[in-house]
Amino acid sequence: MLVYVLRRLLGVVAILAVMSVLIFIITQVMPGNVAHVLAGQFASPDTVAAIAKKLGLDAPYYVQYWRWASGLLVGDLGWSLVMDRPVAPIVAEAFLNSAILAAIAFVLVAVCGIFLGVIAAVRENRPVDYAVSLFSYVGISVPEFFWGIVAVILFARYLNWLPSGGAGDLSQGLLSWASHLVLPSLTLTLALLAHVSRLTRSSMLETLRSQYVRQARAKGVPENVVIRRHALRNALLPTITVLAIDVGWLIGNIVVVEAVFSYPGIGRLLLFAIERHDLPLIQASILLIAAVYCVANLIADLLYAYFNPKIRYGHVGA
Amino acid sequence: MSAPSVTVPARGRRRLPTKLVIGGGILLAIILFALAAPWIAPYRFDEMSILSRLKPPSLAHWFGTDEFGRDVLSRTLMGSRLSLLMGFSATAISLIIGVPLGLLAGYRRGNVDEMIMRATDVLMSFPPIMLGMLILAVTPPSVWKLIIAVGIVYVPSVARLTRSVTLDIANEDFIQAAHARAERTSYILRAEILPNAWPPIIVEASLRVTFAIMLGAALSFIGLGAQPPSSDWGLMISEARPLIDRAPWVALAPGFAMCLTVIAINLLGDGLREALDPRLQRLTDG
Repeated sequence: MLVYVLRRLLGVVAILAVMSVLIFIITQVMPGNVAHVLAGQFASPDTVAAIAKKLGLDAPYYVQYWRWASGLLVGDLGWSLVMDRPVAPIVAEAFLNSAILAAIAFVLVAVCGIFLGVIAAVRENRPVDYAVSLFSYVGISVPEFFWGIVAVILFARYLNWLPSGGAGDLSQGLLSWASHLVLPSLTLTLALLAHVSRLTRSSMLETLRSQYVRQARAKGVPENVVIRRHALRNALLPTITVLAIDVGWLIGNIVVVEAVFSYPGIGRLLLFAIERHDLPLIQASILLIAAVYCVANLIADLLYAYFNPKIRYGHVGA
Repeated sequence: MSAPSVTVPARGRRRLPTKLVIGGGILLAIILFALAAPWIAPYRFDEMSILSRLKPPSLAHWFGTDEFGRDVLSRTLMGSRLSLLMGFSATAISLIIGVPLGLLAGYRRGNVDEMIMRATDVLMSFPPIMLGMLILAVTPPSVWKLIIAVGIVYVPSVARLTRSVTLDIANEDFIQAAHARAERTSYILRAEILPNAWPPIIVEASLRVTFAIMLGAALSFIGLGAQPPSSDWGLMISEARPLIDRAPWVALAPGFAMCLTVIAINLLGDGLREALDPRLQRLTDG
């Protein structure tokens, strides 16, 4: 297991290194010369050249890459061109906001998804099961941003219970802060719930049909104990892996959901940066998001390997 | 010379799965509406009318009008063309690039396999939407770039699926026989492996279409895809977002249209899987 973990960790480091090169190359070929943008439309070529020199844009690409990459390793993410501030604190603040949102959504997805999956499995082929299936089907067929819009129309426009966007300030009280989190996290949850509940259902059905569950029932163990202690514990193994994968999906979805609710997270920061051609900001936020995604995938793989010894010993199969 | 079939089930007289029929029916209707859109739409999709801005649904405008007085029904109808174009062409791109790569990796093994798989590892290390953003941020956005970007995003998963199917088929006797006849690799891949590999690929592709539609709409929604005055559904919803308090109908029509399309294709994909996968068929029958 240790060898496997080390190999996978090395893999992630390698991927992040390749990714940093890729991100750098792509941002370099982006349209709109940064020096031009900063100098303004009517600047003379001399001014543009001077700005380029000051930013180090006149150096060869590999030198620029080295400067950027070596800075990353010591936590220096560069200097935001548009905001004229160091990138690191800007990214950190946005990331924290996103992390709060993601954490709430993740807990909701895990709890509700497993609950719905178990209910559907225990009541297989009854109305509750069909309702959960239908709900899952609709869940995966609706893009997250449309869920967001529907949520806004329902809860903000008609019911007027919750704010339709933005983020609350903790200084204005906990309630206002929390109320801004409800709709975005609900939207994220809806988009991922189906995935978890479907998987929990099928894995739960499988264990409910297993020998040891039949054995437990034959012994006269009460049904709710059979479900909780015997079936659920074993059925949860694949669900745990899927939850780790969902962290990855969550990160992807969060960009869109933040755009719907104008929530000041890393996704909106990235969109802002792309709009303004703020290269250091784009590079830092993409790399950070990709890194979190990689780590989430790594955790998913490790959990999977932990529960499936075959993988650990290199029988990866097809 | 045709290879014996290994994955295609025997063609018995079996009833088509209900999901396939329903999904296919709805999709066919949507495709017909999309094709006929320019003729059945009551207004031009970009026809503005300052006098009838943000009108709620009425007899003249069934789904209301947007902030420029454009008819939401007409725009939604025209948008269906973009969405379907998006879904199917992006999937076609990912198949055209991904299938040959997967065939090659699965048949050749060794270094070629290693290289292709490591490349897909890197691409799959980005969340799909992020990869799309990275590709689209490079140049000014347009629908064609959006389609290509979404197509590229799904190349790795198509390549991996094709590879794993190819690995199975490559061990079959008829491939060994072709090998013994000293057939060229390109012939074996094209004429022997591909015809047997396609059923799972087709199922995967049909589900990819919905991913492609949703990813494309999401990218348009965040402003990196179709540009105004296009009637792309993602863009329409994005433009309707600031007006949500005054005119919710502007966002609802394209949103529901997209959900219907995606549900139809998902049903079709599930139905196809039931029809093409004999193992699953037995499971659902039993």
